[in-house]
Amino acid sequence: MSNELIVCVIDGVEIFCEEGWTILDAANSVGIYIPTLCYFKDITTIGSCRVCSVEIVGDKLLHTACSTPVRNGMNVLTNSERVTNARKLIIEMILSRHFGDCLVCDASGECLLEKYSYDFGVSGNLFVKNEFKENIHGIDDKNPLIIHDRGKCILCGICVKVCAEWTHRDALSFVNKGSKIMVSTLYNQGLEKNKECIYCGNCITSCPVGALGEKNAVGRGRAPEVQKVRTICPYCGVGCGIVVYQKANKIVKVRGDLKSNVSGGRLCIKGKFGLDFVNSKERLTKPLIRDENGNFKEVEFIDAILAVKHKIEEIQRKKGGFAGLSSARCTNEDNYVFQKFFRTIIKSDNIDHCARICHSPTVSGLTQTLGSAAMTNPIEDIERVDCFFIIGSNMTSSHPVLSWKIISRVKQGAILILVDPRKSPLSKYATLHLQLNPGSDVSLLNAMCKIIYEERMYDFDMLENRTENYKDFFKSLEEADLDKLAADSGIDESDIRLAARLYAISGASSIYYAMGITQHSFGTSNVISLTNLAIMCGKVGFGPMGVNPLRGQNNVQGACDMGALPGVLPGYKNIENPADRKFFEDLWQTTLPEKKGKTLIEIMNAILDGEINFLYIMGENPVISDPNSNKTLSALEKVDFLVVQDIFLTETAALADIVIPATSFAEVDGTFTNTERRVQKVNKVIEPISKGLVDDWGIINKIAELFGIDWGYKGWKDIFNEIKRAVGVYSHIDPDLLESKQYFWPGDEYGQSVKRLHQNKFSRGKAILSYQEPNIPYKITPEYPYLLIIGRLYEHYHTGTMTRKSSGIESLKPYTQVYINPKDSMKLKLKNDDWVKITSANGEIKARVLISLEVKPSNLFISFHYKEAIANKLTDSSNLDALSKMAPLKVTPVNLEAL
Amino acid sequence: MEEIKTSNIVDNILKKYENPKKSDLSKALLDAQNEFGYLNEDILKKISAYIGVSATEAYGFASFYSMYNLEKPGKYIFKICKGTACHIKGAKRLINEIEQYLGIKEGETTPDGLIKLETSSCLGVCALSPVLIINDKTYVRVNSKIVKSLIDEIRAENFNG
Ligand code: SF4
Ligand code: SF4
Ligand code: SF4
Ligand code: FES
Ligand code: FES
Repeated sequence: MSNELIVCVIDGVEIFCEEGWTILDAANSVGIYIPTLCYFKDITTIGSCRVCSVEIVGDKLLHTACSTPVRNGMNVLTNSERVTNARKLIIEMILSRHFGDCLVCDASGECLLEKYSYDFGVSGNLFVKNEFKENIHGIDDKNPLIIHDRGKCILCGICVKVCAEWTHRDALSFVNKGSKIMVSTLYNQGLEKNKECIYCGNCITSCPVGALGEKNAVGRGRAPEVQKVRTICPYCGVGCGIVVYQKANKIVKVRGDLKSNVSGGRLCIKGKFGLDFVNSKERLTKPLIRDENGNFKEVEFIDAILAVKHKIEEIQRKKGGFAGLSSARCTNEDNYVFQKFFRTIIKSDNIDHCARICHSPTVSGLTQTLGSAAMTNPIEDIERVDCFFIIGSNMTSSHPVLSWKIISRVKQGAILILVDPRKSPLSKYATLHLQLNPGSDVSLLNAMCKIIYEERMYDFDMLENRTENYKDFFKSLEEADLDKLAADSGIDESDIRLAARLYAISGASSIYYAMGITQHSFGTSNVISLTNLAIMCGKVGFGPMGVNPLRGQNNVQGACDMGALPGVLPGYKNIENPADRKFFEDLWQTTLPEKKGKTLIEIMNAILDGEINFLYIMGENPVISDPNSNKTLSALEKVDFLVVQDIFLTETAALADIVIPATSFAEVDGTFTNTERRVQKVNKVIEPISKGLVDDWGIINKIAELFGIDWGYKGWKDIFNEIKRAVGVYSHIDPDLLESKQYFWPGDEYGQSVKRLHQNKFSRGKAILSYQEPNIPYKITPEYPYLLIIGRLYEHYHTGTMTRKSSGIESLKPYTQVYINPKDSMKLKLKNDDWVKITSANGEIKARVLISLEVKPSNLFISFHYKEAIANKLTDSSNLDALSKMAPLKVTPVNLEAL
Repeated sequence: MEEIKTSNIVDNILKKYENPKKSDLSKALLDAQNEFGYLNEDILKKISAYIGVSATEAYGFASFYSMYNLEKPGKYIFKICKGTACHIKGAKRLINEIEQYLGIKEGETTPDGLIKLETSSCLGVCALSPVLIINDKTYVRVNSKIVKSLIDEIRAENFNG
């Protein structure tokens, strides 16, 4: 690269340019405006519309600013007469084949063509006979979500590129030529017949005109009448930015937030089309209480919380036990107030939430080895990774937007080693796919470590200077039996060797993992084995390399940070440590329980044993999400008093004694912390859908007031300011700057966010390597001859409470299917969609089959989103991970019979 | 069975392109078309996957050049005149009704590959409008009833034969 200085002049302004800039970049850098139509950020430049034409002094031809690189000494005019005339002509030409009518177009007010027509004083053929427009171009609207009105298309080509380069799908292309040219699908079959479209809606967000739109937003409001609010997607842990359009207190549609530092405008189907639940008619609006006959009746808010208070006092008098389940769906403020209420007023530490059954082994494992249980790297580091090691993550379904960034990087040439028993969609991009036996991760990882040790591919500097005990670890590796490890994992030694070499020798290797690693009764071992691999190769604590647990829910990182875990005070302080306890007793001016409380599954067991009599659940649906649903059900039925605070009458709320309606994410202000430890502002989009609905924290705060306690919280900011004092790693965050500045936790001594953990020094000082003996593998028996893997689908989220309220999404995936290998389906004489019964030692469910090569013979796969087939009826809750109390949710031996 | 045969033939065609480049797409498509007469979805998908471009992109490519046939050629090509005289005599309605009867749009072919529906500009027999040409035979002063019975006839013939 030359270091030559590039200086150009645009409209008389001298601009110092960076290597590789276009004229458009240079103009933008000083705020000179150049109109564009086919230009869009983060895709390869198209350069076909020519609206961005500019004059380069001394050159006869006009040049397109979006695709012409700046040269030193260039003198550019963006507004000369020649330029204006040329642009006018271009707009006229586009308008002549634009069969749309701005008067009834949903994009009016935001459409670039409309804007430029106005700017350049070009009028178009406003009224086009419908027959003409249909005959020539046609409308593709047979799918449930997207309407593509080709009459309005200006053939800029952005959607084609966005579909291919953002979402990595191949749904759209230009077809035909001449006057018949249009953007269409394979054999013009429409989006719905073409299995390529996954309804991410990114093509809609990027379309500069109104050719692509949301089907159910048609006619529901245009730019001048709607209010647009930036906030954060309430679904997965990626935390994409969304712009919500609202009119008359109803959500009209959602667009990706182009300014989001996380997603840059990208969304998946859930964020894009999954917000119908907010205005759903099924939302709870009034508290419900059981009458004499045990039926729900509506009561006033104050009566409901008074009843809760009296019950708490009654059970306290009887010396009964309490427990609370907080929620990874709620804001940091909600979680903070919830745990504070339980610890300071009820004086119980039995607080947990669903992180227990997703990443608790990450917490126990990473804290031991590295000292901090979070993603070591920000998402942006993906762009600098040379070798991805992805294990136990079905990320194209669970973290779509993040997975697309990884795929982009792989397409640029990075290596992808995928470890997954299933041929998940990501396998298409894998350099090497290891389809290991379910649950044999430790064997595989140990085998890799042994090979790296034998071939001396480890990082000696790292081991010598930044670890404590590598010699013991090496000794264990020496003794390990490679043949046995390989045999147990079900993978050829040569493939394991290749994986080990690729990982160890590539420049920047980075590990990404999720529930496939953690949801086992040996989850902690899995996590430690993974860090062994990273530490010994020196692939953590340096640049973009690290160990990255992908957090599942929008705010599961935050809920953990806020201390919604037994024994864990806010900021990961230990309640059993007197100094930590003292700190919070001083802060909160009260006494705290001294002993660590019970975890999720222990709470359910304690209810069944009669030790816990009062359970308060805020925004969770354990009936569907937790292991062994039958047992969870009997516990919730048995508990003396169950309070559920939720936005819907979920399967769990239906069992409650009192149900208190809450607000959804769209009706509140607060913060979420995403998977990369980024704290983001959640903004109120609409007023609560019904008068009298209170924020989750507000409900708890009101109950606290009934106990005569005044915490002085008037809004989210008061709570956040207290969090800053309570949670050390949040202390550098200024709540007023959340939207203008990027905040990650922790902050350094200068109050700057630390994006990458463990640089130069691990959080715990020196890292620990600890050889893990392989667990006993999952065994199939004659009685239960299949291993059922439970996971997620792209279209749905968690227990389906929210995504299944969206009629569009629901119609794409209305029922659950169990995936079965053709070999097995042939044996059982099953066809697609046949009904089967699946039985395990814990229960049985019915589902329809989908014959698929995604699963190996004698493996099955099902999702847990559907209440009609509660997959967790099959899972076991007795055999827990010793350290983290995780249950073996991921894999269950089952039998399958045709019905 | 048919599919497996097709797939084998395509495999054979692709053998020619040992280290496929993007530029081989056009030749491979043409080879396949010479073999099958047209390119259906399965053939297109197979070839594009082998060459390493996306199927939709390959479809877009093929649809750009008139030398590729992307539809099974219809056995009977219906050409309905859309010229001014025929238009005045209700050609538009006629087309609509036939579209409905056949379940396809103009320019498309019925899924059984039997009938392709096309329109044309003035055929020069305005006095006898509306005009319909099936393959090389001209029918004049037609109405939807006549055309429907023609279609029924064709269908019956081909169904039995
Ligand atoms: S919704 Fe997404 S996958 Fe479908 S066409 Fe648009 S960009 Fe492509
Ligand atoms: S649909 Fe929109 S984005 Fe796609 S080519 Fe047409 S105008 Fe451009
Ligand atoms: S990837 Fe996650 S955060 Fe982004 S839109 Fe989808 S569900 Fe929402
Ligand atoms: S914006 Fe530059 S050519 Fe279209
Ligand atoms: S208009 Fe139909 S034949 Fe002339």
